[in-house]
Amino acid sequence: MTELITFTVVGLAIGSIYSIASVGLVVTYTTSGIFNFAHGAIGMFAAFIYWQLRWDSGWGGEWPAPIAMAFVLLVVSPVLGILLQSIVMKGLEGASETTKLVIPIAVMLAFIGLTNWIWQDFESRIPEPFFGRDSKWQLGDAFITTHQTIVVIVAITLALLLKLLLSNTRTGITMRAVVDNQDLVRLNGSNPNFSALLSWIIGSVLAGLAGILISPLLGSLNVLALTLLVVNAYAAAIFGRLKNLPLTFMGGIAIGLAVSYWNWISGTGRKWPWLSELRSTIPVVILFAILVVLPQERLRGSSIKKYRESFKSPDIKSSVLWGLIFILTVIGLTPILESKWEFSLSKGLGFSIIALSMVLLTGYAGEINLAPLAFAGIGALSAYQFDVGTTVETGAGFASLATALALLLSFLILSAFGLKRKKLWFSCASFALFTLVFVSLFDGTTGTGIASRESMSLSGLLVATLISGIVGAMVALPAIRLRGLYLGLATFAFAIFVDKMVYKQRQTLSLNIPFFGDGEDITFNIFNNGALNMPRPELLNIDFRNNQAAMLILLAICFTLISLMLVLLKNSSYGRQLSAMKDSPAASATLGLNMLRLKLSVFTLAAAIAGLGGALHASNLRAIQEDAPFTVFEGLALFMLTVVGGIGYITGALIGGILYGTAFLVMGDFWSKLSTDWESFDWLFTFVHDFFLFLGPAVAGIGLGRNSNGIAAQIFEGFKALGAKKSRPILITTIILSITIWALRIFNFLDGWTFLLLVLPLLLVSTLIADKHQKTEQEIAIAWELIGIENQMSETHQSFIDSMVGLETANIKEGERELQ
Amino acid sequence: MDKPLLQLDNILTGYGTIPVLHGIDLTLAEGDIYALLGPNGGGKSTLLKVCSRQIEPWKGNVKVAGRSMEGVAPEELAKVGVCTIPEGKGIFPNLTVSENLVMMTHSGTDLATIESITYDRFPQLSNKRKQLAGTLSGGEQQMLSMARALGTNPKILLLDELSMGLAPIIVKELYEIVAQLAEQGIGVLVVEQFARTVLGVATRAGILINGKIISEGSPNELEDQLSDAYLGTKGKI
Amino acid sequence: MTQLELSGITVRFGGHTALNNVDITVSTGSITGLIGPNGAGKTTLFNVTNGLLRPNEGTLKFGDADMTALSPYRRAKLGLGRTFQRLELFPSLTVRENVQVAAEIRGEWSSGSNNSANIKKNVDRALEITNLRDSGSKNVSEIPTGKARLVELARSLVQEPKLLLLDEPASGQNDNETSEFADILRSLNKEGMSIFLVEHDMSLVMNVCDKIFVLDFGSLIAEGTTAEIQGNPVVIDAYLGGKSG
Ligand SMILES: Nc1ncnc2c1ncn2[C@@H]1O[C@H](COP(=O)(O)OP(=O)(O)OP(=O)(O)O)[C@@H](O)[C@H]1O
Ligand SMILES: Nc1ncnc2c1ncn2[C@@H]1O[C@H](COP(=O)(O)OP(=O)(O)OP(=O)(O)O)[C@@H](O)[C@H]1O
Ligand SMILES: [Mg+2]
Ligand SMILES: [Mg+2]
Repeated sequence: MTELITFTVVGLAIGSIYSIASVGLVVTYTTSGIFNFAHGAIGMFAAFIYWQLRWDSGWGGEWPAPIAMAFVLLVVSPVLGILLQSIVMKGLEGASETTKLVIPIAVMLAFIGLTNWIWQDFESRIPEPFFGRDSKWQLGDAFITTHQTIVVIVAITLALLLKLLLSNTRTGITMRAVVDNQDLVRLNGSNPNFSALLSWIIGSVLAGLAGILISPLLGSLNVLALTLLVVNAYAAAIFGRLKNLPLTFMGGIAIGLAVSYWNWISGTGRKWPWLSELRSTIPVVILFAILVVLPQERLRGSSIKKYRESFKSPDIKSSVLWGLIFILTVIGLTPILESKWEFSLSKGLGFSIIALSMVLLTGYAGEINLAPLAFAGIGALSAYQFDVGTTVETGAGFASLATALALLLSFLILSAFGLKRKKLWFSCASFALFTLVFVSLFDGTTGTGIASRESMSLSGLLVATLISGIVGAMVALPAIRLRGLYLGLATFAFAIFVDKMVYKQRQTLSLNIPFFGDGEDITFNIFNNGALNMPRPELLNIDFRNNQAAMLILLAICFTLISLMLVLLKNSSYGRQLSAMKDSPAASATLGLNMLRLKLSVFTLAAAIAGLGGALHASNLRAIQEDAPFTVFEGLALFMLTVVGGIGYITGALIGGILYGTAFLVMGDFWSKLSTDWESFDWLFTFVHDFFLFLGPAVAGIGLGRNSNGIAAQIFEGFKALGAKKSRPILITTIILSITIWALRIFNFLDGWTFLLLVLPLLLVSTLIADKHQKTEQEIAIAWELIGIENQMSETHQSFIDSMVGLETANIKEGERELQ
Repeated sequence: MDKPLLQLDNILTGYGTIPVLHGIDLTLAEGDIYALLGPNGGGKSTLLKVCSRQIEPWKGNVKVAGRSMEGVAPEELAKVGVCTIPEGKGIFPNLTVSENLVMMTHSGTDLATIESITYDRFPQLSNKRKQLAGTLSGGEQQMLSMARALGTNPKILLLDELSMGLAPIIVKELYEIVAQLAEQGIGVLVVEQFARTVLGVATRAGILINGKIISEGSPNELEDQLSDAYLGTKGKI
Repeated sequence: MTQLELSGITVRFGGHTALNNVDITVSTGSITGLIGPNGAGKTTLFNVTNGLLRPNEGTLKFGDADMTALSPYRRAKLGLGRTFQRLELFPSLTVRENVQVAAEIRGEWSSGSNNSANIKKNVDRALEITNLRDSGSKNVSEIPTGKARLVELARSLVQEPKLLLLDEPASGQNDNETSEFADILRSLNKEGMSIFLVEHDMSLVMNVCDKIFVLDFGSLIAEGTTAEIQGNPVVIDAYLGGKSG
């Protein structure tokens, strides 16, 4: 009984915290239409500042709690809210669901980066609860601290007050109205900017409050722990359908209780070591379950939405051409790059291949997957576990398993391709047979044990593709009815689950599977010490182990091949069906499209691509660790940067991957080189270096608000201008100059940096010039339209305009009638 | 001469770099019901947006009661009695019917008045107060958006495609209401595609094609020209 | 012969009864109209018919098949087409692609051949019928409402449905477009397509329909020929309001 009370009290206290956080999320969502991934990060930032004011003497002494609290909640948080609205969130109306998801992710990364930057040292910062640790009172045999009591009271009060504000006051109603239609708010006589500002101020105050109240319960301040804790509140927010505050509150309490009771039952994780991490994943498991179980909205008319985003289809011929140019460029770069750079570039390309899965799923099909790297990680692990042979004997069991998977996978994917039944089975069977032959012929591993592990074969890559594809299908199956944000959150839950249950798994699992391991138990040890050494591939007698250039070219070729496949898909009936499903589910169903099958197919295919990319990427890196490169946060960053690059385009994936894997590192490198070269400006260059390192991706993401079609679209505009007839001279000059610079570098007249500093601006400037060139012509055309207003219209102009607009003059018409 | 309620001088505007309106002149006096007709894509909605200051004219001037509206925000205009009912989406779909009415009080009228007028006119809405406006039928949504015109006592009323999707009996009723409003001295500018319904109540009419008002006059004069105007643009988007 | 038979359809939203025990039959080869005041439940009835909404009570038959439990895409396979009151086009595709994707989806379940030449032919024909040939390469978000409704029509036509449900196809069209539209409907009907039409433009309804059903507050209040409906005092009172048109 005592235990029950104790765990209930603890559960209520945790639950109240979740409630505070989730109520904040819901308020922000209903008043801005944005699911604020940054909620936890903002709270975390506020908690750091509060700690600094309250407990550290560094910033002007230890302030009394009420004053420090008031300062953070009444000054710092509102200012953050104002900055958020006026710099980041403004003008997001009409943006697609994807953009609306990416912007707060960028903000989250910004706050994480900022906090890491400001509080760089690893000092442990331990915030004390209100009234100290010893202030508590007794209920039965259980003790309740004053802090916990405060948390519970604040949670209840907030839920009630905010409910009142949002549904019973005009201010609150207007804040919600702004999400629906800003123009209409104006026409009603109210200023939507003011309401939006208010909602972000309230949102960040709530985040700050949550951060300050939560932090003492977590021990020492930790950037990621605090940020992630709020993720636990997502389930509660979804339970309230992102609008109902009382339900959200109760959802928070329920989750708190669930976590607490699980601790009780499982003896704080000691009973089933394998599940010891489950404690921290309970909230995301609940999140996934709630998303899947709660009834979905009916397919309802969305009417024609004109998003700011619009992606043009690539055509196949030019894609092949660009693919060749791309591979040649990479080959051309290898002789002039130092191997360190080759490695950075390979890293970027590895991410780019994974990002292609997002182009397919999000760009083409409009489904959001926030777990791209979870699938990539599963791919890498599968390639390692099944191929390298430390744990599973390559034998009949393995081969038949792979064949069965291949059959299933190809069926899942191809069933949405509109093949007639015979053809469908034939294709699936051939793929399965191919797999069987492959995995039997190439066992792929040479040597056992960590030190002697040599190489990864094609069958390793194949297995990676198969397994991650099937896992993708398994995730998609329950979540198949979800769309947009809800699907994003479900996949996010999955990513966190993989993070905790797989990457942090230290236990050894013994299984006895028939046909495997000669009848003995197979011991799985997914991640023995939090790190695995991935072997490099060995193909066609090329040794990739000590040849970074070859690895780079291999990645470039893989990227190009997968890209071409995607372009083919996009231009096929399959691609058009994806667009249809994305644009209007109701119409697609009405036209007889089996959307469940199509969605399952595209999700499976995307996961398979991610898995293949993950295996290649890990093999290039030679290692995977529990905290790199496949974690949730990295997944979010890659997703964000791909959207920044232009998620509707292959080029977007390339840019996203390169930005993430290469650019920010190289840039950091560049500035730190400068700071060693010019000592006197050290402070400046160090600052810039740190800026790129900590905030680079976030700033790129925030910049998305301006051009939601991504960088790729801009580049295309530039190239289109460059490709125009008029710009031939500019194009030719550019090509000649680039080749010259390249040759100079080859013969070592230039060093790497100079090469970059010459080529990049050259490309930029030439497109700009070409663009300008075209614009001037357009302007002339427009000026012509103004003739009628500026000057008297001449007779010829008059008739010309008339014929243009299809308006015959009345006389002509009369004449015609008479003729008839 | 009395200052006209609303006056447009040589309005030129468009979207991005593409011009849509090529020099529009128009005046609206107290008690006028001006019917602006024309085919799809002619720029009628754009013209209304200029009047409500949602779009800045590139050239030309919008005057309300003789005063230039340059630099005036749409919400300020709404507060001084210019009521705009936009095309098709005049409601907040995620607010309930009664919350939609609360939004109308921003113009300065109190809630009780708005509610009583609305539920009086459209009893159909009164048992749907707690329903989300987005789940109302198409026609009910249109009624709800008209409630703002009736409830907030405006001086100038700008209506875009009022009759779209409404049952004939409702259209008739609404135009009777519009006529009553005009009798009280309100100036009304109506944009419509269906000529016949408006011309019955209009005092003046104009035809807008491809960004120009190609003719203007009494409803009767215009009725004859209308079919020609539509025929002329047949086959063109 | 009946093409569509709805019996005892009841739909409730919370406490509100949007359709109350409605029986409607559409006979094969007819153009049947459905009119009624705003909020009468017409769109709801269409949603029930094509499966986007499950009725609380009632059964639906299509030809001889009971389709009460079928999902929307299976109903499409039976030969049920539909357009929407609030446009549901695919803005990221061009006009032509909008129609093409419909043809391709059909190609997957129809027994006929689905090679690209065949599909192209069908798409061309649908665009021809709806006078959209010149607009094929336009983006659907660029074209005015009247044309957009034609795209929805073409998209349905290309699937050669046995029965076509049209929800206010003339709203947003001007008088001329409407009369052209009437011609299209008649010629489709001649080729054997049954049509079920919801419309507030009485000139269109009275012009093309063989039979009309009238809904009010979720219940059928009248059914009959155009002449009968036009003269029915109950209908005039609830919907037409004096002289029609
Ligand atoms: N937001 C916009 N961006 C770009 N072009 C636009 C936009 N809105 C309208 N247009 C274009 O401006 C022109 C005039 O449009 P407008 O909506 O004013 O026409 P309308 O006469 O109201 O037509 P309708 O009867 O279809 O409502 C059209 O060619 C349209 O394509
Ligand atoms: N999701 C919903 N929740 C609650 N009520 C609804 C919902 N959808 C529709 N209704 C109600 O059902 C009734 C019928 O709506 P429906 O859209 O079928 O009308 P309609 O006859 O098509 O009208 P209109 O001609 O105006 O389009 C309306 O009163 C509407 O408010
Ligand atoms: Mg318009
Ligand atoms: Mg309807």
